[in-house]
Amino acid sequence: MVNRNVGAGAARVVLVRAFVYLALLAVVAVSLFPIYFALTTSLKQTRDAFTTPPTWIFTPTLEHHRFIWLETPFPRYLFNTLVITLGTVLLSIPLGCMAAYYLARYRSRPIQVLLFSLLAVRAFPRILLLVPFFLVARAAQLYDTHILIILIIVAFNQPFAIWLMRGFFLDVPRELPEAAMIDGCSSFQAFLRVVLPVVRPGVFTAALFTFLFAYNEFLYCLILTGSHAKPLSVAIAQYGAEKIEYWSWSAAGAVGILAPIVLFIAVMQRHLVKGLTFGTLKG
Amino acid sequence: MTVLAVILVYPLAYSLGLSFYNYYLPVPRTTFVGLDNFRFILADDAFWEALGVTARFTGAAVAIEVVLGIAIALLLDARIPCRRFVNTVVLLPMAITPAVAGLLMRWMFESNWGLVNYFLGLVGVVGPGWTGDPAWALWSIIFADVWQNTPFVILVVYAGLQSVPVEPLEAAMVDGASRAQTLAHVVFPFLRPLVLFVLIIRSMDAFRIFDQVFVMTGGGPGTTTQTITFYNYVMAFRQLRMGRASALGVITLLILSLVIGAWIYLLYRREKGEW
Repeated sequence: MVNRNVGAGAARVVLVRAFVYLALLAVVAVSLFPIYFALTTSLKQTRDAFTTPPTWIFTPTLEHHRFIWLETPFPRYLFNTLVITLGTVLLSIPLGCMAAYYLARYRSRPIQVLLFSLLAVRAFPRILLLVPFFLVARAAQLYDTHILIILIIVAFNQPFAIWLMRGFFLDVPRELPEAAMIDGCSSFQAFLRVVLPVVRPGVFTAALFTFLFAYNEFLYCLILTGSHAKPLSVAIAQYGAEKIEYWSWSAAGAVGILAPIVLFIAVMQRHLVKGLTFGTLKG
Repeated sequence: MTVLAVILVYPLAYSLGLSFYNYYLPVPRTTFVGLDNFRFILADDAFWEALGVTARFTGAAVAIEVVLGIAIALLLDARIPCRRFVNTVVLLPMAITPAVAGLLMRWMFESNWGLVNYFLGLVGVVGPGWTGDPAWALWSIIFADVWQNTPFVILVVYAGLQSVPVEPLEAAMVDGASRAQTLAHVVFPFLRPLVLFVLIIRSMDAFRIFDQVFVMTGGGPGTTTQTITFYNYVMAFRQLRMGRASALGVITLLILSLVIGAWIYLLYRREKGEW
């Protein structure tokens, strides 16, 4: 009797296990499949790409990748994306750092309100600001410049970056900068030399998210950039060609845009998870 | 900070002002028309249709994402092999450029050679035309959004599960609670604030969806997938009606603040009442 019960229990455990694994396998497959599909499409000869049933085994070719990165303006768009992302991170993070430090050290009612309104920016219908941005940019001759896009992305990114880093700054004991100041540091030096090294993981995480945010921005870039400052995200969406190879080229472009993100996530996964959960749970 | 506030607040004020003017971009003269723009939009069928599309999209996408997200987070919480790899893969779609994700999904849902219809065909179902079919186009975008954004729910809920305090779990075990009971009475109450947080964030994001619509359907077929943001884009940058588009933006902002405000109020009030 007892034995049978244990046997049934064990069988149930195995069943549950099997179910969990199968379900997770399905989730992993669904997550990966679109990416896998784009990758293989970009590597297939065009005649193999759109058959039904799909060709699972094929001779790979790098021709489409070569074409998109050497014979179209895509390198130019890549350069624009790099300028925009790096510019955003370099502007957003130092500014956000100081703001977060300030907000973490001085906790008063108005500051709590300020924090909350910062978060409210997230809810904002961005399209509402698009018209004024567009008109002002045209008037100020900033249309289609990198700096315009950088400033806008920074403005939208700041709430999240500040909020995220503030969580890390909150964990720094007050005594730390104070001790440094007693030892003769100015308050800015204390911040730079003593506090900043302690919160480095937080700053790093905020930088990662800022990078992704700028890299992925679409709507503002679509309207506010033209041939000069257009980034990859807009270029791939607008990319069109008359020829049948269009799909293959487009897939090659998409894979090129995905590749850095995939690498990035694979390497930084732990930082992203830790950073986001940290900020969220503190919030 | 001040500069940033200026970047955000000045255009907002500008936009608000503009919404009372008739400003057709090719004609450089603007005329004050009072509330005419607002009146036009409230009488505009396309506006109400776009609002309905947005509401259906947001409701369906967020509901599926939250339910799936919680389920998958619970699965991930079980002891599994190659945890790091699985975590990475599951979170990956979240980081992908939405415009590119839209493109990938457009290929998946392509009616002739797309893999979705191929797999449906394997189990004997003839798939619809998806993005070209008025009845299914919005669902294509909903599925695309689910693919991309469920990871966010997973991430937050998973993080919450990792930090469920140990003592009540042990207490529940000592009292002989089953796993289901522990979940229902110990884990879920702890997760609730996180789920609320996710629900609000996801709703706000879903409400202003644009990138995937632009890439996958361009608002079509017809206007069946034209969301509020997309309609606003069309009004401003295809019809070049700047004043009217600003008014639509202001209306959107009002609707959104009302809905979100009411929602936060209701949810948190109920929360307090129960605690």
